[in-house]
Amino acid sequence: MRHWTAGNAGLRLVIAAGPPLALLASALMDSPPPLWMVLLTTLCSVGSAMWHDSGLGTAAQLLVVAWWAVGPPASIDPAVLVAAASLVAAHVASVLVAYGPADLPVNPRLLRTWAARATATLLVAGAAWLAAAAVEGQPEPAGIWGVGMAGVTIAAVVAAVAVGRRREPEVS
Amino acid sequence: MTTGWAATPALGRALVVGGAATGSGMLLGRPTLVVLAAPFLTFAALALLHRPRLQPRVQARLDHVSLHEGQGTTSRLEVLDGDDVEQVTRVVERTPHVACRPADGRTSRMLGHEPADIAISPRRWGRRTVGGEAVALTSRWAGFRWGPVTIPGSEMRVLPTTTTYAARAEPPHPQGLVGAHRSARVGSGTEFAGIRGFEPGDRLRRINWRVSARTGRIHVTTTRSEQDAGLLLVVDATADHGHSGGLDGEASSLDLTVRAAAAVAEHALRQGDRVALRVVSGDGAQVPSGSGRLHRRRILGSLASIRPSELVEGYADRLRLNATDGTMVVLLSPMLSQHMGTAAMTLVQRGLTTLVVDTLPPGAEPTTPEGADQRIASLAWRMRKLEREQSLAMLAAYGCPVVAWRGPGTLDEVLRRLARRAELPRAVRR
Repeated sequence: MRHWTAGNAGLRLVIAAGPPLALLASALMDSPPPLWMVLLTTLCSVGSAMWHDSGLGTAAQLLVVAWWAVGPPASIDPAVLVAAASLVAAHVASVLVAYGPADLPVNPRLLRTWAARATATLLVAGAAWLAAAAVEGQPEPAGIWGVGMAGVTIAAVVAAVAVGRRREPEVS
Repeated sequence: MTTGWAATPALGRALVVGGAATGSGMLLGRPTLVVLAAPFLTFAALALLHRPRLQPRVQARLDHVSLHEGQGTTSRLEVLDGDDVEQVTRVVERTPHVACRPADGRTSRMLGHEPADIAISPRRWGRRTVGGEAVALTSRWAGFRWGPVTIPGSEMRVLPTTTTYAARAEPPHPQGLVGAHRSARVGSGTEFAGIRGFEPGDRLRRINWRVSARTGRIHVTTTRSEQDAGLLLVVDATADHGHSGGLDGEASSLDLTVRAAAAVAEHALRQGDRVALRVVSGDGAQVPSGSGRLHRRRILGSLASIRPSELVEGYADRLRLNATDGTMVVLLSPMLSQHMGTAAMTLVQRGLTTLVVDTLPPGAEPTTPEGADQRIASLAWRMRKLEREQSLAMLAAYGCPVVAWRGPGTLDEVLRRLARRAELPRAVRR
């Protein structure tokens, strides 16, 4: 910890705070999460801030997804955008920290680039929110969820194949 | 070591979180989960779209391969087949007495927008490994990472700094063939020596017509010849006392010794004098007498290669400096070793002009071996310093000047006195 640069420390703070804030955003819908879930999520996110390449960051974000799946009401509310923004901030901060060791200063150009990318992806989330709000309350077409699941499954299989590691001799 | 592109934890996280949120949302009929999943699916899709196809190669090179301490050079990284690379991270190995910029040798840059150069500056003479580093490359949208791979550094001989040294004192015994110093011999120089009667063999253009007309006999003007001088530098590298902070901090005894030797050699070689070097250590180097620019590099290179080591058992008693008659000997040492005192006294008794440059830093403390009693070590050090003072006093009594090195100009006054003394007749023991 004593080797962190100021920028690095700031990013790790965002990593630690993002998932708990995403969890607590449901309180805006009068549906606050239980204390044990907040503590568990905080524990995972703080662990992710210390060891950013571990699976603790993913665990923290999955906990948030799990809560939003069963906790708050199913209605479309702007609070979900707050949760999305918090998760995106934690994810992007983790990307920036992972570029090098803890004492590597944060590159300003990289920071600006990823801030712009995060904003763009939140616009995608906003568009999804608007679409969901537009069709809220309307009858669902038959088989829509099945088609959606099939599409997600195929995309997951393609992605799993695509991330397969290739090894080539090192040349330097 | 083999390496290649591998998916980053960030890509894995985006896929897992995005997939889990989308799947749960569809299973449970909750559009809010699709809103949470959208940014992560976007990250993952774009990272996969920019999956690298080429295997890059990296090469690092230094702008300069030979430096003086305090000088700097730039380490430049070249990435070949790097079209898929968005970001590069370089982490240079931390090496003692080597400063880096930026940020202690760590840099993160976006390739193509800003150079990933690192400035390197060795802060102390000697053999340094410069440029060893680890390099990692990241693809667009941080989906894949290549490395980190290690690029080994290269050993560099860092030459001691040579501060400008402008002594005007003449060396005591210029005896070489041709040089810049006024010799005691009469010859074809430019400095007036005297007027004497014409002798067969004298050049006609040397005739002094005024004196000849006044006396009625032909007289000629004589001048002093200009010759170079021989200098032997004896460097004591048997130990290094004190702490070295490089060029920016305090100097150890070996720092003072090497830098003083470099300054004196530089000054003498600039004047056209011949300089020889003898390093007294376990693996002592020897550079025969010579002059010129190449010889200067040879002397500085030998000084830069010095590593302190004790003299081999038995060798100390047979220490031979091979100083020829007429050579001036400058012995640079902290004078804590008995052998150096003995060597200096032997040179003085042989009739050689000898000068001792004391390079023990003021306030130097010995390194106490682990487990040794600090009080006993401190007492032993004080006793050793008392013996050293006695030894220096005895050398001075025998006519060997001892002067503490304080930078350029230290030797001016001493050399003047030695030059004046050299003109006087002297008895020596053979």
